[in-house]
Amino acid sequence: MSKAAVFPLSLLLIATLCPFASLRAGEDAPPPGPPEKPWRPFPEVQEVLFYEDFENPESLGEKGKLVADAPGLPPGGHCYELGEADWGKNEKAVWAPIAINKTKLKVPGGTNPNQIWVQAMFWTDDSGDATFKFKHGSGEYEDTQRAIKEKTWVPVIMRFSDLHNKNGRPEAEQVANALEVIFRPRDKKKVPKVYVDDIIITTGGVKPADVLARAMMARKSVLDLTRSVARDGFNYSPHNQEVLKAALKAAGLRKKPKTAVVLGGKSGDADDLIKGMTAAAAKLKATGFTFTPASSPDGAVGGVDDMRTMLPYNLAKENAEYAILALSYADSLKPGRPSESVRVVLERTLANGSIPVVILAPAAPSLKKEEKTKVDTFNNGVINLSLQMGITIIDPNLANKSAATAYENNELNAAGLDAVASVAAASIKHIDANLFGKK
Amino acid sequence: MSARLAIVLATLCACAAFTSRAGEVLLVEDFEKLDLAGLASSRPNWVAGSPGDLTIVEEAGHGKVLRINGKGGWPHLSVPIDVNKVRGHQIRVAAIAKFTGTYTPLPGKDWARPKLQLIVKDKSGKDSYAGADIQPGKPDWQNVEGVITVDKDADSANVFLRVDLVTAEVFFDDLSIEMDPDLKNAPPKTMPAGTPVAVTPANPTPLPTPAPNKTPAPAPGPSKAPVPAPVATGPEAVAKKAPKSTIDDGGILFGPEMAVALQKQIKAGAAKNTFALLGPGIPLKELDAKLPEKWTRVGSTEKLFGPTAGPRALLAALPDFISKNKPEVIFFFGETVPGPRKTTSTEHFDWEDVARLCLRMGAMPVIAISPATAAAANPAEAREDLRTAMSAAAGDANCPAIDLKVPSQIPRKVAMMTDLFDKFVFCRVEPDAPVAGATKKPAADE
Repeated sequence: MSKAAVFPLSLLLIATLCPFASLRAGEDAPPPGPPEKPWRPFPEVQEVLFYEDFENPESLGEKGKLVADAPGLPPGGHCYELGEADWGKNEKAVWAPIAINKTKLKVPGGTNPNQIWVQAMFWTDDSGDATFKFKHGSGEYEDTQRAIKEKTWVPVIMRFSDLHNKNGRPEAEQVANALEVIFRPRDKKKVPKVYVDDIIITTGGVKPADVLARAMMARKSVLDLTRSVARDGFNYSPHNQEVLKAALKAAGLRKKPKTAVVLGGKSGDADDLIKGMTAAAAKLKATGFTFTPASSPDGAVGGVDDMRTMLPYNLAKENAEYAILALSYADSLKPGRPSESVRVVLERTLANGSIPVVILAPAAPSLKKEEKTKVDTFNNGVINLSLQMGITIIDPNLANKSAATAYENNELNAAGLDAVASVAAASIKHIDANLFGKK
Repeated sequence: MSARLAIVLATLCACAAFTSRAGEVLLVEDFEKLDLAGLASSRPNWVAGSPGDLTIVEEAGHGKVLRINGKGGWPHLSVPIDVNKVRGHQIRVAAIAKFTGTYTPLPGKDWARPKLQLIVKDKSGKDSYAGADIQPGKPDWQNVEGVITVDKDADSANVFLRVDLVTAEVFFDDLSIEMDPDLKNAPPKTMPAGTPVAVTPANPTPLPTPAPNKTPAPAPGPSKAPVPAPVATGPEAVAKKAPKSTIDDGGILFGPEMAVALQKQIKAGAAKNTFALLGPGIPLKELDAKLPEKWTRVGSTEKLFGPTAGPRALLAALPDFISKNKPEVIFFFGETVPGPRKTTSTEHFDWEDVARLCLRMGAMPVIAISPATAAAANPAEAREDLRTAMSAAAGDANCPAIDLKVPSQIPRKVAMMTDLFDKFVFCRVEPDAPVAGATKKPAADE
């Protein structure tokens, strides 16, 4: 499901669930305010409780697989092929459990089940019956639409209040923790080919078809905003954007040029990074950016210790919008918990109204097991911090595909830094366009 | 009679021999002399994680104890055990602990709590654990211990006193580590006399320090004329003569180890006998009239003093200031009365980095620690947190500090500190010379 994603979905969800304010230890508890609004996947489409279009590699589906070659899909589009059910081999049933419990969805969750609709698009190569089954803490209920048409995409729609079991129907206060999409073919001799797409749950009595277009548009904007380390070399998401906006708001009024201070893992690295970033920015048509190496009045700087002592000076001196911070193998070996130093640096940078972008410590292929463990531990600490604080990170090992030629003495060499610089330039362009609007 | 006596004596000898083989005390740490700030030099393999959350404090009836004031991080003191020595042996770790308060358990993280823990790692990285959780809400000291047999493939073994992820204040004392202990007996409170001590092979100093009243037994063999110890000379020898004082005892944090460390940070180029007074606690009327004799105050800018000149603002402005003015010593004053500035979530690190920044650029930092104002109407405005943060920062940066608790004594303490620098860091004044005083000088801020 994760398709070798560097960020496990669980971490992203942890980050989503951890409000940034909780990091501010020692601050006063917020005054009691109005009750929290119920969660919605797209705040601008309040009628949609859940929407899955399977365009994210970290899809919520299980047992089946994401496919791009199903009939009738638009170019580049994906849907989900249901997998054969171990429990239903005789009837050749196929299914997919949809892990709705990994979202903040609460259904019915206090809403009248009569006001809730569930819909999914189906394509099958044989006619049969489609079932939605919801499970909650102490039971389950389902409903089935019979004899759906084969070899064309058809919507299967059910009202939540029509789901049932032998004892009755859903009650408003129940909260479903699992959804199963099941298909049983008419012909019990062969396993059918069944694809599902655009699973949508709506509330307020609004039928899915009436909001599907708006949900798709909202979803597209989320996808346009989202970047993943595995696919793009850096991460960014609506969560990042939301948390960064809040942090910048807390930092107060700001007017900054598109300047990025670059502080490398060791002195001299910043120059290599800047060379690469300047070239990459030109290729990406990221205009107007200035990249400046961090320095001190008594010379060059580098490493996490200098990030703590010298970065505030450089950010103030340049009135910098961004701080590109490259961690090093040597940083990961520092005694104590070096990721704590990174936390200090990131919090200060955000408080200054600047956006940090963190390049993780390199893990050269030649590292011994215990050395790699130290780097991984350090990087995992930094990843957790970054997810909580909405900060973009770059994995230098993915950027270099862990090629041995990118490393020297366990650190990135000029070639390795150049590959990272391209990703860093792309990340800044993306953040700048989305966080501040195109300047 | 003689035969029976011989049998009794032989039995006693055998018992004694058996007892002596039965177990070995590897460590007893009573925290009476443990210097957390000087851990790197005195206990190079011990690690204080989140050192700002660790302090040595006095506890009635227990002398000095370790206090871990967890604030949601991973504060801990870890002590490595020489794994080569303990492979295949049973180990008991024990301590006493006090946890009068409570903590909020984290969902799904039952392990996140205060505890004594021994972690043994094998060569494949797999951990084995022993230890005990510290029970909350207990006014009395609790005995906690853990026992484990160290695998023959063990790669490392570390003892931890820790508070993981939760907010909790816990006290620890009498940490002991025994090999092949007699589990019927209580853990030891002192090292057996004459025990060769080495918890870790790389530890350069004997642990723990022998009892001060005990004179080492003379070495066996023919007596030799005592050989006088070589007399150390040079700046380091002078630094080692520096008087030791603490914030709680004298209001000044200074000492021989600190003086030696500061000497190593001296860089050429600083303007001799110049100092600056910076930070949110400046201006201070007590200092308008009296400043150290023979020292010249360097003027500063608005970014570097006044209510908004907190440590983060100082970090942004200090490099240019030091580069331009090259002061030899900089005093950083915390607020003496609650001001508009609110402490930040990284307050302790901010002050620590201010001190490190100075050292990096060749200026000697002195942290002037804000007084606690526990009587403040709004607890959120109390300076207790700031005082704790500044104290911890001075400890972590291993830099001198003065206490601002008594305003009338501030000029004297500033003068005493510059005198200590003159005598034991820069070695410009004879160590035995009278303490220089404070004299009237005009203010020099721009």
